[in-house]
Amino acid sequence: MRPALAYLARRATGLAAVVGVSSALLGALLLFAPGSPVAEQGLAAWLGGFWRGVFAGDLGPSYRGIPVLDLVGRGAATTLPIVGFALLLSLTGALGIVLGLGDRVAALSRPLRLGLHGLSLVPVFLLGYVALVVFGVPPDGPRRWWAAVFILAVGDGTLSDVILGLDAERRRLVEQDFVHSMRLRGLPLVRRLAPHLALPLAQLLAARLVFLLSGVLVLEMVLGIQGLGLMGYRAAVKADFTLLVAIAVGLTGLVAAVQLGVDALRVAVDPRVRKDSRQTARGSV
Amino acid sequence: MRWSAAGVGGGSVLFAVLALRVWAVFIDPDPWPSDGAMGGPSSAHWLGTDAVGRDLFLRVVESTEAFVGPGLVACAVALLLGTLAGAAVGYVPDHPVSKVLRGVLTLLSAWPRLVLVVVLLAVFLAGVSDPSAWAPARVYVLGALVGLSFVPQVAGVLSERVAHFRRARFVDAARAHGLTDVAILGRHILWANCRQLLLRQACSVFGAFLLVETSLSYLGDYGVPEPRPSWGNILADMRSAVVRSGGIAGDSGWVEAARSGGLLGVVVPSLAIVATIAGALALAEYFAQRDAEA
Repeated sequence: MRPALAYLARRATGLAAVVGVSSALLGALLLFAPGSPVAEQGLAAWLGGFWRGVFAGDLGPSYRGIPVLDLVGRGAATTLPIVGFALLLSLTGALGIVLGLGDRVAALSRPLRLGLHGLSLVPVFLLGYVALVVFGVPPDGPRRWWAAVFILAVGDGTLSDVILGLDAERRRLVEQDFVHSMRLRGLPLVRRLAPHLALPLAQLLAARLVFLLSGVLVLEMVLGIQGLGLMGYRAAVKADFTLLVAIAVGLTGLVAAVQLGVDALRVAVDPRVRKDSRQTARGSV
Repeated sequence: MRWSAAGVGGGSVLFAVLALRVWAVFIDPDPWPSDGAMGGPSSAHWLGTDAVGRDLFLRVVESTEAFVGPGLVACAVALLLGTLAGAAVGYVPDHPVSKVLRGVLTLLSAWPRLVLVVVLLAVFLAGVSDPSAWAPARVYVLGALVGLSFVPQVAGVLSERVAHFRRARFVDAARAHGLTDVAILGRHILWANCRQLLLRQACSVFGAFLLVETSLSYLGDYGVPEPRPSWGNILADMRSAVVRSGGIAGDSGWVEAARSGGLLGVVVPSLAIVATIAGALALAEYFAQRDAEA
């Protein structure tokens, strides 16, 4: 097998193991919750049934009477676009600020950092509250959806983290010898620098995803958006542990899938991985 | 010790919060004024009264009870477990225990933090025979769970630092002088070279705990239960009282909200949350600067 494919296969196996062990760990926790399906059936039987149900597309009914996987699918169809657009918005804003201001970002570093930190300090639940109480965002419709996207892109430190991470990467890159050489020769920089920025940017966004998923869960509850967050919270309150575990494992799977995407990008842009995946994989873990 | 603006600002905010927490000990826990519900600000009630006639200012002060102690519990759990795990993983990376720890930390960090906290809290409340009896202590359990959710972060940054110093020449020298690994790790690496890093993490955990506590208290089921006050549940109380005319920014919304006392009930807890989190993060920034200078 080619080294790159072998590397991706190893990473996929590792990430699948993380998702599988996550479900086992959640099941083990539920042993301590009387009335949970794990406490009634035992961990091994429940775990086997859970994964059989996942692959068969049937985890039984939720507390609302609707099949669990249907609910998770509906929730994901609401939550994931919000998270995706929020990432896109914060990335676009960060690129605009970092590339637009260029070296001036460093000069503005202190006030910019303070200002962005100040903005990002506001928790998403408070921004959602402000949207409801101050601006009277209606309980449904596109205004609420876009409010959620904007709040998620800005709050909980997302925008400032992406800007600062991107700027640090840009500054590291422009000090490289090959960039000095390209500048001296008058070659266009953007096209050659893009692949060098792609991987750190993807890593940055993948790292932010876990925080964004936490943020969107709170935000959905505040704004009353019927996504995975609201469903998971209600499942916890109603002690619907199958739905709760399905949502938690689904989110873990999403994080793992995005991480695998980052690994695939690493293979695409880093020739060292293509040449000797084993060595690079060890170095990157 | 040299204090920067971040250190002075963050330290002052957290000192003020601690002072309010001490003051809260002396407050009558159930002040029911006779002035009526949603009263505007007055000399008797500086911020007015809430929807059931309680003094808003006193409730804002009392709310410090909901997060100061539990926030410190969160810091203690995160630092204790994170230090143990991070030191082991960084100092003896090839030991089987370190490999297992690395796996556990990877698993914990794959879960969104709030999901982990809510799942653990749901299991805990389902497991206790009388959840209402646990209501006063629930916020401390929340503190421990938030601390647990930060263990991967603390362990991650610490293990990198310990791994960096593990092969330093001063460690070789200490070993040559006959010091044990525990003494080298404890005194020369963790205490001498990592304490600012750990203090920085403690400040971050404290700020994050306040965020989680106020969020859950706002939502109701897993935060601070009424009638105990939290900045989160005060905001939730005020919400229904203030959302009129399409929100405060709507037609006559400001006037209506200011007249009813709801405006201050929204603004003061909101600012208190932001200021306290800002204070904790500013102090974290100060420790980061000190760490970089060291």
